Order: sequence, then structure tokens, then C-alpha cells
Amino acid sequence: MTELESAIKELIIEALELEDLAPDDIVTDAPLFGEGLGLDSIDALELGIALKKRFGLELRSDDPDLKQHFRSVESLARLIATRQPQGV
Amino acid sequence: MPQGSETTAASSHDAVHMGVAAWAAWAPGFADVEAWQEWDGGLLPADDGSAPEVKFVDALLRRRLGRLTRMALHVAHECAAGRSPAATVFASRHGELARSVGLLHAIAGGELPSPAAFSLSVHNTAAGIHSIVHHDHAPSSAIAAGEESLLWALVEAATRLRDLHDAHEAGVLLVFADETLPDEYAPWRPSAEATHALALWLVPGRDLTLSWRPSAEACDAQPAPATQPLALALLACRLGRRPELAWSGERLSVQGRWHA
Repeated sequence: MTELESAIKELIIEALELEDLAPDDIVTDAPLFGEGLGLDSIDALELGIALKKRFGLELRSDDPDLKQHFRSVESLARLIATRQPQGV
Repeated sequence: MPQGSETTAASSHDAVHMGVAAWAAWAPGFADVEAWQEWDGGLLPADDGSAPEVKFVDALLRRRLGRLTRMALHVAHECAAGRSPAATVFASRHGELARSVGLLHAIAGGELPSPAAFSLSVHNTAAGIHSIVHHDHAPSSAIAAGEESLLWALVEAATRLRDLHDAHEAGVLLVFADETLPDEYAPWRPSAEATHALALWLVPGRDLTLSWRPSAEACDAQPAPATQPLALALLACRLGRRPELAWSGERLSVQGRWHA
């Protein structure tokens, strides 16, 4: 698990009030929504705001790849790394 | 003609009656019916910030719920005891005000408000979550009507009861919950403030009768602020602490009885 992936997991736990979970409980390449972690659409909105605050990530609701970006911690890390090539 | 005069009173605009098949109440330190049996009908102890556990709500849904919603869900669950109501009426004077204050602070601070907090700050939060948790598709109302919120919720419930087709099967679930105000609203704190929740399973009948009139008509002097929220005054009546309900608020005075 990269440093960025670890930071995203901690952010998910904090922003989505999942205090019962530890970062290691979130599987890096498992789905976050529906199956897997079981998050819902409100979580998606909440997570979008948290990612903007923490990583300055700008998301557009008309981005056709948005759903893919939010699939897992791994895909979110890839997106953030692409937008911020210098790393976090 | 007692029967005739009763009918007239019930159909007028300032009186209402109904049967109460079950009730449940919650306040900090009063978790169940046994605890309420020990209550003297007076002031509740200071709010310790505790909340019902609502373990019947899925953990992923439960994590975000505010205390007021937990209180409402808890008494609704206890009172309904697995039965499906024909309609639900949720009421609160202030609703999830603590959450709204948090959103206002975020906006004032130039931050994006939390979507989860917003979705759970609306007045029908408890009604919506109740419906999701219990797969309850019954029609639902969410009422806010000042210090008489419970009274107008009872009027709404009585109207729903009149529309019931099978009076023997169904009932109307009324859920009232209120919390003490956040400190930001301290200058407007009502004199009769308490964190409490009450649920009633209502059916056609006459266990509970209420009538009301403007407070200015009810007393010669300037109307005095209520000393107790209406829900607690009503509960004190049910528990035999007072023979009759005589509650007076800034606008209305309510008289009535609640017999077991």
C-alpha cells in the first residue's frame, strides 16, 4: 500500500464516520460503493468534498469516467497521482 | 343526550379524541417504561447528552444519525413493536437544529457544507430513515408547529384515523421528539425546554381527548410561558401524576385527559 493509498483510506474513515474501521480493513482494490465497503451516493458526495479539501482534487459531475475514478482506493489514488504528478 | 353532545364536541374544530393502544417515551435517564414509572411528573434531570443505541438500524446507516433522529427512531420502534402503521406522523418543534447550526458554521467559514449533514438536517429526516429501516411505505407527515407541535401532530393523526378503512387492523404511529437548543440560540431558549421523545400508537377511540382555545381567552392575566413541554405534561397525565391535562402555552391552552 502506497502512502497516498493509506492517506485516502484514513480520509474515508474520517469523512464518512467509519470509526469502527481501521485503514487495513479497506481493501485497496475492492469496490467502495454498493458491494465491497457498501458506501452509498451520499458517501460519494461527502467523499468528493473531502478529496477536494485534502488533495485539492477538482471533480466534474459530467466527467464520463467519474464512476471509474470512485471505484476503489486504488483508482482514486491513480486519479490523484495523475492530477498531482509531483506526489503528495 | 350525552352521546349527542359528545359527537358535537368531537366534530368541532377545537377538540379531538382518539384511542391509544401503546406508547413509548425516551429522555436522558429514562430508557424504558419502568424508568418512567419512577418519574414524579416534574422537571427532568439535566440533559447528559446520552442517546438511544438504535441497534436495529444497519450500522452503515446508523453511523451518521444525529441524536434527535435516534430518539425518534427508538420510540417509534418500541411503540410499533413490529406492527406496520396505516400512516406515520412525525413532529418536532426544532428538528435537527444542531446539525443545521453545523452547516451554517461551515458556510460562514467559507467551507463546502457536508452533503450527509444536509441530507440529515431536514425536518423529515426521522420519517425518511424510519421508512428505510422498516421498509414502511405508509403515508407520512413531518410537522413543526411551535410549542404546540405535538397538538397539531395529534390533530393530523386524528384526521388520518378518520380515513382508516379497517379500524381493527391498522393504527397511526405518531412520533414526537425535541432536543434542548444549541447554545447559539440561548437568547431564544424556551422556558419549558427538555430533551424528550414520545411515540403513540393511535387507533379509533376515546382514551385521549384534547380541547384547546387561545391562551388569552383562558386566563385574565397575561399568558405565562409553559412550565413543561406538552408531551411531558401529557405523559404525566397518563402515568397518573395529574388527573387531567391543563397545559398553557404562549398561544394556546390545552385541556384534556389520557386514560389507560
